[in-house]
Amino acid sequence: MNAERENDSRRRSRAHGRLWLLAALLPLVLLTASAVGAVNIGLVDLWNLVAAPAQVPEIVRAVFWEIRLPRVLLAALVGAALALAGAGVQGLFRNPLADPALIGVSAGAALGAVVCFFFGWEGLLGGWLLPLAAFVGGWLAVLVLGIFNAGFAAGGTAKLILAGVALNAMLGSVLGFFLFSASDDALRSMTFWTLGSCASAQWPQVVVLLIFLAIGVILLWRNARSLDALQFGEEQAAHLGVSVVRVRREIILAAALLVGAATAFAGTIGFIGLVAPHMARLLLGGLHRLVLPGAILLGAMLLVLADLGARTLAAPAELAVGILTAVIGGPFFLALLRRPSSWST
Amino acid sequence: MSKNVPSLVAEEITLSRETRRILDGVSLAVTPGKFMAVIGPNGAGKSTLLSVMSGLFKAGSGQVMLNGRAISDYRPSERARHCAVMRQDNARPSGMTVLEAVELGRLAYGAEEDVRSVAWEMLQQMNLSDLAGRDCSRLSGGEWQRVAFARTVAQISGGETAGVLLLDEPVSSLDPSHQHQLLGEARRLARAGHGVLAILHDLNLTAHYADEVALLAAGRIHSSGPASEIMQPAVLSEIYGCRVTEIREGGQRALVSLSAERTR
Repeated sequence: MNAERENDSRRRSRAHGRLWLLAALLPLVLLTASAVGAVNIGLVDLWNLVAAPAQVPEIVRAVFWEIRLPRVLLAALVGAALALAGAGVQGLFRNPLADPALIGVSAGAALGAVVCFFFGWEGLLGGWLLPLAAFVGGWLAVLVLGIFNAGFAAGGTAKLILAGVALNAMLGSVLGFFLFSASDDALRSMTFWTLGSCASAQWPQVVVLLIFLAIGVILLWRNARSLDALQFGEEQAAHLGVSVVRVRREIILAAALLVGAATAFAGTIGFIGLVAPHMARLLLGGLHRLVLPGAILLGAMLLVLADLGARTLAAPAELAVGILTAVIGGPFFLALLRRPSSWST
Repeated sequence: MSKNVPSLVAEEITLSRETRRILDGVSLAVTPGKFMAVIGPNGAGKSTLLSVMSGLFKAGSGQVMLNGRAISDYRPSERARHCAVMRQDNARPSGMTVLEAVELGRLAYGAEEDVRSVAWEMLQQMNLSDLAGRDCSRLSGGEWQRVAFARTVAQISGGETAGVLLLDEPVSSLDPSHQHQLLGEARRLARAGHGVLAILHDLNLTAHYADEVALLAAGRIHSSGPASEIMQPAVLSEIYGCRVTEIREGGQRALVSLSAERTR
């Protein structure tokens, strides 16, 4: 009995230790990504940027504060938001293949953006119309899904998933129509947007996304235990005291906010929302109080690294970051899958 | 709580799905201190009755009262502190240990209490300590059923008021020894003042453990009363539509159905 208790606390502290390790890795990744690029910034300069700004060449200062840092932070926030939304949606649907895109928000956002490009409106409102259109598009899609699913109160996630698939297909064909009829220039912008990019990062966007991430964190964290209970099935969770419909609405709301905002600023970026939560589960076990923070950290690191690759691999040209997320995350994920699971005894 | 005051009462429950009537005027009371078994043929409406009585399904007509208050008036977390349910379709999560699964039995309670101690206590009580660190997805069907039972008991233990336990075929995957262990524990909980209702299929276990038995057939209560009255070969043969006979040996009595011979 005491041996079992000891084993249990050892297992728990191991999982917590891993989470702290991920938390310690994130600043390192952020720092590395901030230093590397078209203008490389040495360690001494990096330190002096904060400690003694006068000793750093002005060009380096400008690059770091106005281009590099906002971009790295935006990538981190977008990755964190997508991964967090993915963790919530996978937990809710109890489906390892669930992706935040399932609730239609990504396709809706893409349609909003593509309409913007189609009419050449992307520069309007000081460039803010594009993210706004994407965000509204994503929300409209979720709203339509909600209406058809009786306010997400109708029983059974299976129907919701199927409705999501149908909605995605319909949005896809409207999207296809716009792509088909667009001018070559607009088509190029659309394609680049749908592959994702953090190139347009600026401080205001970082701040806006940070606010959305904070809301998402609050909404998901307060439902973390309910998500655990949902793994027994929705009915059994209800018997354990979970208000299933309220939890479902809050998680879909959180996912729509997170993915809507992330997509608005960075375009559609696949893979992270699907894979980062699984990585967190493989490393930390299935409890959502570990999975949610783990997914945030892993999602942030994955996208920062992918973005680093996007702006350096083919420099001075830029790759679309969506091309790289899977290239960087895929092998790592496969390696994790091969490992015997760590939380079993 | 005064003894023998019904704590969960179903009154004239009727429920239809499309044109099919699943429950037809069912009245049933789960009394503190009593172990009640509900038996009946497949498709008689037993699990549906359990879903209605636990507040998950709304009855078409009739009402369910938990401690004198309509069960639909309870918030889910409040309801969960008074009434614990073990369903048949209990998904086995991966990435969650047995201990963590049992801890979730205390989900409806405040965060202040020491959830882990309660869970350890439950595991010890059910002889499950050895499995504490095992991932739920790696349990056998029977092991998982015992863990689910431990989680369900954790849900109502330690409270100031007695609770209600609703168990849907809690021993369907268990070997004989564990069947006795689980039902013995359920009966002990009843003796401690909780109300227990279990859907069972095994006639001998029912006769041995239940204080009262309700026979459900085609959505109606065929008969109900003390187990010794209800568990008679003639009644059972009629309900199940196959011959049930009684064998007595050394002061013990067994109910068996040896052939598929139809009785109706």
